[in-house]
Amino acid sequence: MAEQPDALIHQPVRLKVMAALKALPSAEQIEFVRLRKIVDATEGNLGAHIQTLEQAGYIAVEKDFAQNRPRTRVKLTKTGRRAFEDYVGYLRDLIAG
Amino acid sequence: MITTREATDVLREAATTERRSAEAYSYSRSAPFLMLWGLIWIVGYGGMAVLPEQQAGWLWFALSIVGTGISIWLGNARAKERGGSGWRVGVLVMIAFAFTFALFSILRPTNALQVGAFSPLLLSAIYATIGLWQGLRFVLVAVFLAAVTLGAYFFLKDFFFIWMALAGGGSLLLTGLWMRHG
Repeated sequence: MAEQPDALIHQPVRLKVMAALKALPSAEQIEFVRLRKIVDATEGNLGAHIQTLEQAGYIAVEKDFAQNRPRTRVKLTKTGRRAFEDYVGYLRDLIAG
Repeated sequence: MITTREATDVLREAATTERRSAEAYSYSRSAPFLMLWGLIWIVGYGGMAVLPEQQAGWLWFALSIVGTGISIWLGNARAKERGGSGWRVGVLVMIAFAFTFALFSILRPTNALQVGAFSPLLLSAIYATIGLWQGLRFVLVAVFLAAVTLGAYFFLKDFFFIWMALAGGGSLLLTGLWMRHG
């Protein structure tokens, strides 16, 4: 077992982002606005954490236009899914002793 | 090193967020179908309220075909976004029709009210079942739909179809709008 949990995920907002994306079917994207409502974060705060997770390769961000309005969509990458599963596994092992 | 207490709290928080996300996803996927069939019910039951029985039957037949076609198209459009196929939506509608046909073959309805009350009650049972896994809003619409249907069937016989158009179709439409916004 690792000494420490994954520091990129072990942060309240990023944990919620990863958990919210993990609940979706593989390759399914979620709109930024909807994600913000689920994780209950401010726009700026969520944007910063999404950038951190994107730089780590845990999530993929796609920006486009829908009905002439800018739209940002986010999805979990395979790397991110594995990292989240490892993180949860770490915590479960810790609890199990 | 984090404590077991902290680990438990983190896992609980993750599970709560996963559940909220899964529910929001399910709501957003279901919303267009609820709105579509809400509109169809408003037109269909509205037609039953004002048209002769045979014409109302043909209206429902046409609406069912249109509704099924649009439902399949909606299912395919969403599925294509993530590289899948929406064939399950079409099969689901066909199962509902096959079940209704089979049931009516055995327990033949004796009047139009029984036919009109059957679909909302079937839908209520389906939504209540879905709601056990996919979120409270499905259960709420199921309970409401069953209540307005049974209430109208037993106590508002003279206004049954117009009531089902407004209360039944309207509740599907409004629930769809509610779910659309997560």
